[in-house]
Amino acid sequence: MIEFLGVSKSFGNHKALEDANITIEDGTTIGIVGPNGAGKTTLIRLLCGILKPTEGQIVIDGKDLEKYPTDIKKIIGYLPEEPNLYERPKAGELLEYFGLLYGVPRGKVHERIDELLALVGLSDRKDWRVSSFSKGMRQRLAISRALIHDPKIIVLDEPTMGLDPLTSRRIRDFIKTLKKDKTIILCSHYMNEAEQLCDKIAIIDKGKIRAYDTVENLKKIYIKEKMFKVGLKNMKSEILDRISCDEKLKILERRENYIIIKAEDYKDLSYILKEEVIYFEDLTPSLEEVFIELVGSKND
Amino acid sequence: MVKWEISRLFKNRKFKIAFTLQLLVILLIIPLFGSYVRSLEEGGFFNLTIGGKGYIPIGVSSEENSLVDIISENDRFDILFLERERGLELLRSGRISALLILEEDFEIKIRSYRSSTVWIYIDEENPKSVSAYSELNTIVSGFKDGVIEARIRDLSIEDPEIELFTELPIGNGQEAIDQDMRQVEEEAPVEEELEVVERPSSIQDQIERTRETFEDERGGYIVLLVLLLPLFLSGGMLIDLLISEKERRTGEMLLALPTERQKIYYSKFISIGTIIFSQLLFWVLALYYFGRVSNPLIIFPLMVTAILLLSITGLIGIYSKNYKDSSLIVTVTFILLFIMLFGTSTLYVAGLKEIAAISPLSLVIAIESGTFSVREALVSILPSLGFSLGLIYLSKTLYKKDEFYFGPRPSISELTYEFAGKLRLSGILYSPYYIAFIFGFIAIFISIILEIFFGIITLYFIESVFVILFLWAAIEEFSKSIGVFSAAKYFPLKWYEGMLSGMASGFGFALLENIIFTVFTLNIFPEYALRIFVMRTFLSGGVHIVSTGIIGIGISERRYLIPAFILGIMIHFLYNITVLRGVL
Ligand SMILES: Nc1ncnc2c1ncn2[C@@H]1O[C@H](COP(=O)(O)OP(=O)(O)OP(=O)(O)O)[C@@H](O)[C@H]1O
Ligand SMILES: [Mg+2]
Repeated sequence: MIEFLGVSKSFGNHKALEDANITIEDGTTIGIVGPNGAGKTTLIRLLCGILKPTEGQIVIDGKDLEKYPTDIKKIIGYLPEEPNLYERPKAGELLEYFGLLYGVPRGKVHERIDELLALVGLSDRKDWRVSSFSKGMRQRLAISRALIHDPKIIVLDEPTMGLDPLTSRRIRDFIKTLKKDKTIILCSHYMNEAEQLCDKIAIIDKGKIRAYDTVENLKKIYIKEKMFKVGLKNMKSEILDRISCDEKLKILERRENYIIIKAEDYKDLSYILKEEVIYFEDLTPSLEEVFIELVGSKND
Repeated sequence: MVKWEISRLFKNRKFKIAFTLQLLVILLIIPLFGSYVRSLEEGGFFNLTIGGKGYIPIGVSSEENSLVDIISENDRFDILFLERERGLELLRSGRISALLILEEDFEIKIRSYRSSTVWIYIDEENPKSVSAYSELNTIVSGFKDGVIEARIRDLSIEDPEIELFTELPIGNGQEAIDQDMRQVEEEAPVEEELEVVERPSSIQDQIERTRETFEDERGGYIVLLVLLLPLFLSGGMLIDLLISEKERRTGEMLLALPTERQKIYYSKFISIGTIIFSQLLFWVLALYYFGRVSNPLIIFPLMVTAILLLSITGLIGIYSKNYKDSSLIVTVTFILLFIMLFGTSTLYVAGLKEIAAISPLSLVIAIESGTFSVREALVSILPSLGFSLGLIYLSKTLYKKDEFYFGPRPSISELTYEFAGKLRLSGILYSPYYIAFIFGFIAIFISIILEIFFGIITLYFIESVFVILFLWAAIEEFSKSIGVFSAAKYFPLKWYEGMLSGMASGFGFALLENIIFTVFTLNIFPEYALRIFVMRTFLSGGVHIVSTGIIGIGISERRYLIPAFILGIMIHFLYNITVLRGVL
């Protein structure tokens, strides 16, 4: 279990993270979402022991990170925002270097390297120099470096940033395969990505954590009302009157062929749907739009 | 981790190139260096460029004395024993290149420590003659130093007046030889101003010793030049190791590793250290094998120098944001280091061993010439080693801070503030004084550098001691005021607090200055060290405290800033003049 207890981090006078309080259960996947400069990377670096908090405490498995940094760092695998790889060595050598530094036994390290390179699809590049790698390959190599010591906690800072949709997807699929028995903390600009992969999402903006909950709860909390666009075969005044009298429903727009209705829940619409429906669309905002609203309104 | 760092280094192309270049240079130097040393032994560097191989015929007025013995050991000279008149004739006609006239009773005078004059006549138009002059002059000066040293040993007389005339006679046009010679006669005589003594002396030993070390020390000096090459190079490599991690952001992964942060710094330090050590070991043994180094023990002072260099460059690497940043600091530091290390070892060769002893490189020369004592070794190793350890500790502490990898990099005064900013004793905030005090320490280094720099420039344009004394007073006061300014930046100071901060800064300055001064006197006149320390503490310490105290008032009450500075500097200047008067 990972606990942030009132963690703040300042650079000079600038507060990059303010009073963060979150708890991450073992085996869950957590998404950290926020705009540029929100403090995502700062939060993650604090978690990896790369930065030291100005205030507060980070406790992992009951141990204070500041007191037992080496013990804790051993169980964390970290993918930095930029791959930050040495250029000179060959892919295999690089992994060996980090494997040994992370304490993987010398006898096992090569086996582990082959296994990981196969997982990320770089087996044939083992003896290529890192400098010859493309961006996507570097990212995959960096992921395998993060996993070399089979860490319990995996921290990924924007794993799909700047990659083409196909590669992004491959990486997302790969993360899904990891999900089974690991704690994953994942940083992203994209709510969609977080929604797809994560059990819980923290929305962070200007150094403050605005929300931290499961995807469903977030939806429940922030998407109070749903919107539907419904077109009926005969837009009779009788049914429309009934809708406008219904307290649970509200007509936002009324056109010749369709109406847009706001409702708290889908089932409130049930009697309407018994009519002959020729058109139906769910206009409910996605979590992404909620996020933009949440973050955007405050930015203005 | 060290092992990995080393293997990574060996795979690094930049390193390979640097290493190969260095190897080539050193390999090239060995033969060159052999002939260089040989030519030094045989008779001067100048001959190599001007005279070529031939013998230089010189005339000497008397046969039987120790100076002529030394001269005749030099194979380059072909000595003719001549009367003065005959000699001048031959010199004019170019048959001999130089004429050395000694007093009849030269040997007796020297052995009883009386003054004797040596005249060297040369023909300025003749390049051979010029080179003969330089050679003879060096030998005579060396001889003179030896005599003075022997005298000091015999009598323990303090502080001899040493006057060296080592000007090269440079001709200007077609003047008559006769005239030239008169000119030389006026300028070049080397006089031994010695007092009469009756005691018998150990002069013969001293002469022997001087002659031997004279050659050896210069040999050792060249060894230094060669061996320092890898040292300076490796310093650059350490900076590269530290900064490339910042520039390419690869350091972030190192920080994420399950090791303590300072170990990353240590591993870099140790890996470069190991490389230097093996290189030095290799070169020293190789040179020893070829007979160019007489004692492989020189590896120890060289290692101390290497550690000093690495600890400095390591700190630079940690403090700099990027290469651009570091290259500036590195250039300045290397120049200073070069001046310090070589300056002192030059002093050593020039005979001022006591001052020079503080540089480990002097020990290299001393070991080479077989004239070192354990005390000398400690004096030259301990200060450097202590300083290095201090720097390493500082580097480690800074490296553990996030700011030195991720920025924003704190300034020195911010660091001092962080260190001393919350110091309270029974409810009263002492921080401003503490900050000023620490800056007093730093001010010493700033002012030494500025004083040397501006001192030389001023001397070049105006040869006035008073201007320099004033300049030094101003430089020292300005350096000390930095501490008060930075204390005032964090704490609003009332006038008396400003004064106290100024006094604290002056006190810190005076304290360190006295310690440094005392270390030197301890080495030269141990019996006076305590007295000098006490005297200086009260006199110069008092002046430093008062003058900067006044400036401190000006800094806290800005209206009086300029008058306070003027007053402070004047007090300091007057003190400087008084000291100078006292010495004269
Ligand atoms: N080393 C630093 N020095 C000064 N300010 C910093 C430093 N690192 C981060 N910051 C500031 O802290 C804030 C948070 O930065 P952080 O890198 O955590 O943002 P982020 O959410 O990861 O942004 P992005 O999505 O662009 O990666 C930013 O305002 C940034 O300017
Ligand atoms: Mg980021």
